[in-house]
Amino acid sequence: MAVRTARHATATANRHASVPQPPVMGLVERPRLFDLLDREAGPPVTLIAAPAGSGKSTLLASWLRYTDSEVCVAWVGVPSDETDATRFWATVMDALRGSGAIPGDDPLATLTPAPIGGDDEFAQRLVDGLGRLDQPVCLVIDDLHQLRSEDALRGVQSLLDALPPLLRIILVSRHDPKLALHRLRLAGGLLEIRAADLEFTGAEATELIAAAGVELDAHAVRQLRERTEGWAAGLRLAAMSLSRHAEPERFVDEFAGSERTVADYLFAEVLASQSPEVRDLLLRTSILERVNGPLADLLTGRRDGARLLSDLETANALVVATDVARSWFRYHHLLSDLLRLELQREAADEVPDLHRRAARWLADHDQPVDAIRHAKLGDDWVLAADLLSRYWIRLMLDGEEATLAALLDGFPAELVEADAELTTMTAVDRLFQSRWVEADTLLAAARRSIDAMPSARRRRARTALATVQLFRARQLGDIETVVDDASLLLEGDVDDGAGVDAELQALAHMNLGIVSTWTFRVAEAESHLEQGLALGRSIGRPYVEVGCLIALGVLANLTMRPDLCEERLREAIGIADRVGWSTHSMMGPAYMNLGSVLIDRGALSDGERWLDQADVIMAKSLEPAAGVGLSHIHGQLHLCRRQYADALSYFRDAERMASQLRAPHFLAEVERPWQLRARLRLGEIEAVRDALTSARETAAWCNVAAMLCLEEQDAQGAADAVAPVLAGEVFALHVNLVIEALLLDGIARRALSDDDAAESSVERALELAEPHGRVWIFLTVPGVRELLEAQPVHRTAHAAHLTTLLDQLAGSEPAAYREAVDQPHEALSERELAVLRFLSTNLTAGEIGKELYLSVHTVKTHMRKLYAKLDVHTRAEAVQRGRSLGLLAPARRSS
Amino acid sequence: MKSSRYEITVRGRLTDTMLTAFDGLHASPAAADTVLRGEIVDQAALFGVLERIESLGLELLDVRRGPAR
Repeated sequence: MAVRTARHATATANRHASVPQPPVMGLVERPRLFDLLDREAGPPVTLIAAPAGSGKSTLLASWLRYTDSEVCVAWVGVPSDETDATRFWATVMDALRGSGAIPGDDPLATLTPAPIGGDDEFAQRLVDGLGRLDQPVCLVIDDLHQLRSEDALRGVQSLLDALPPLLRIILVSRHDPKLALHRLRLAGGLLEIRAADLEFTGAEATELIAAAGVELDAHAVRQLRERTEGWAAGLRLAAMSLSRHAEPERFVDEFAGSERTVADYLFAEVLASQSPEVRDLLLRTSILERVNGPLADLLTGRRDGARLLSDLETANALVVATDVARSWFRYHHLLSDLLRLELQREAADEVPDLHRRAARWLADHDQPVDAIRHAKLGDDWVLAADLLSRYWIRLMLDGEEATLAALLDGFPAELVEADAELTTMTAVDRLFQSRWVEADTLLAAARRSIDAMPSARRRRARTALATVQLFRARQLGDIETVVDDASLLLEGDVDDGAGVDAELQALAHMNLGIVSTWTFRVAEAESHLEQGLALGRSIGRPYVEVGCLIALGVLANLTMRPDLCEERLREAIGIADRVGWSTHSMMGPAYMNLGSVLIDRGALSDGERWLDQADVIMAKSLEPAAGVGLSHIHGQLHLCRRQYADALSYFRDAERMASQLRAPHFLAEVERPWQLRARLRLGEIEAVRDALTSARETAAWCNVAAMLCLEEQDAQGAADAVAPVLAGEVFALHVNLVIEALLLDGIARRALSDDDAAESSVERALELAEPHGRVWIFLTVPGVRELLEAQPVHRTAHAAHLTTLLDQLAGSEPAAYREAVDQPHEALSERELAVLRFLSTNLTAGEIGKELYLSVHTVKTHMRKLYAKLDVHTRAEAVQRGRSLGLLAPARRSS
Repeated sequence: MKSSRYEITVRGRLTDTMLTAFDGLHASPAAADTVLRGEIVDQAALFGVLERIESLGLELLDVRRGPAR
């Protein structure tokens, strides 16, 4: 058979210690089975199901080596007892990316499992992404029976159900997996290779024996094949012994006559026939999942590890290289199981020490998860606790809570109680499982035991506990108690602690920033969030980046900087899209606030689209406080659309939710005046009058009182009601309330025939509204349209905004700002832009000239030029085009 | 859930090495096979034993529940 070139994945650096690669081995080719696998336009799914030692992985590895297909191969070996779906998918992604199948600009290239409250839709995104591939990919999942996560299996099932066209899936397992394969089977979409197929035939057995360099007559080979029943492991073990045996035929005879199990007999033989050094190496290193020279030397105390391993691999023993450089090896599962049993039998008391030594080496060589596992097996709980407390934040940020749970499992209870960090971790685990009461109890316990921590770890333990408490506070909406606790625990700068690594610092800054936002400690919040953002960027943690950006956006919105809010939120949303976290629960506030900003600007449809996305997320939100805000914004939207019953219902929902929070939320009091606005429109005058008998302490209440007066034709009463707001004597939560008061004053003044005062109030309202293009509030006050129409255009400094408002009141919405697809051929100059803005008024060219201190001639020249640039012919067209390009409003940033 | 006695038969005679894997069970030969007997505390433990048998590449012939104690 001609040697054909293989196409292997070049492994790229990835987070997981074991590089997803097919085992590298040169073995007997089995063309009979290769043909099965090779079938052109064959079934998309292959299942290789056979007991341990049947030669499944070997078959695949040698087939991949010799096939000349152009297919990219992604090989995933499931580690033993894998309970973590996230970890599994991360490995799948690494393998796919390493296989070269994913183009650099495809979303799959940056798809990342979502941490801490992420959705379970990773598999779905992967499936969708694989549907976009334009080259054939072969995904191999080896040792599928070791995948114990139901979530992961469901994901694999959805892959099988979707069957992206260019994807070939090969599943390798010791027993039939818990997957629904019947339909595939019936439809002819499943190729099954089972034990019977894998059994070595006489010819194949002959070839295997010959390849091992053993000379055996045909009769003996037949005996061997019969005794082993063609079981690959048996044949290979036999070959190993035979190659050293002086009398091969006698060996086979004795073997054939023995009643012991094949594995037992041959294993014992193989082990007995090795040199003492090799035997020692095999036994001691059997505790490891993978072994290399240095690690072997550490466990044996000698220096020959690398050489012996390499020899074993070359001798075609059951030792397999796991990386292209052939420095790491693992034993065939069966061999390592038997070796471990033998080790247990011979030297049980040495085993814990071996685990401990391995733990330390692995810890030093950046393989913390394996290090922790070995430390636990070696009863070195102190080491295990230390390693785990240094690593657990990273696990969480990777979304691998299940791995954290598995690593935490088994720690002695007294140890956990005494160790504040372990207690904190356990609390986090309970939080993820929604076991709230336990979690809170554990957090309280951690607080009490924190001072007992050894000084080297105390700083980190404090920071970790504080961060978790802040996270919990966010969940509960309970700000007060926890912020104080947290500040106390942190005692100053987050960053001045040695041993607090970047991930923890970043999370601490982020959570502190978010909670400071709630208590309006603006400067503090911004400082923490900016630090968190910078840190998150530098360590490549999109979770922190997105979290900080969203919090900064929310803060900007709260502090009347909607443009900055939009900028931050769009950046956050962009990152989230890139990594596939658009439906992560953390995105809820982003969509909600962006919707709110857009609605405030009058882009009602766009804003509503974002609110809809927020609705989808809020169902699984971690932050009940955000639900209050969302209902409120929905209410505002309905208010300006004159859907008053709906608006009222939303404002009531918001109040109800706010009252259920543990600590007062700043929106709780606000809801009532808004409800009254809606009720007023619905004609419930009496009810509103009754509710207003109490004090008017804020602008919101003053304005409602004014609206009631106007409803009752009491213009003077209305003017009096809003006077405190205009004078700045009462608290206005939002500038919109001041604008509202000015508009109400304008309406009242016009009714009192005080046109100058009215004009002055409207002008002030426009002045407040124009910088950020605020539109929404104008849409909610009845009578505003007439008020604005009466405003003399030539005397206003805010003609453009006035025009925009009048347009919207007449029914048209502003075009989407950033979504504008076409751009002018050439950018307009400052002058041209200024002229364009006046074109939207009814001023003549001469009058425009007066405003801009230009001659009529110059104005007309500018007009000609800008018509050309905008590719229009009339003034009306120019205005329309200018509006759709977002050029008419001075304060808005163009993209 | 009470523990029960089980008798599990696998093909071939097991050596001491392999028997170490079946802590708590007593092995006795039966023709060319081996019968593992003992108290197994619950279903989870039972499946654990079966999984052990699978991982060692042994052929499972029979699983039988003995008379309850």
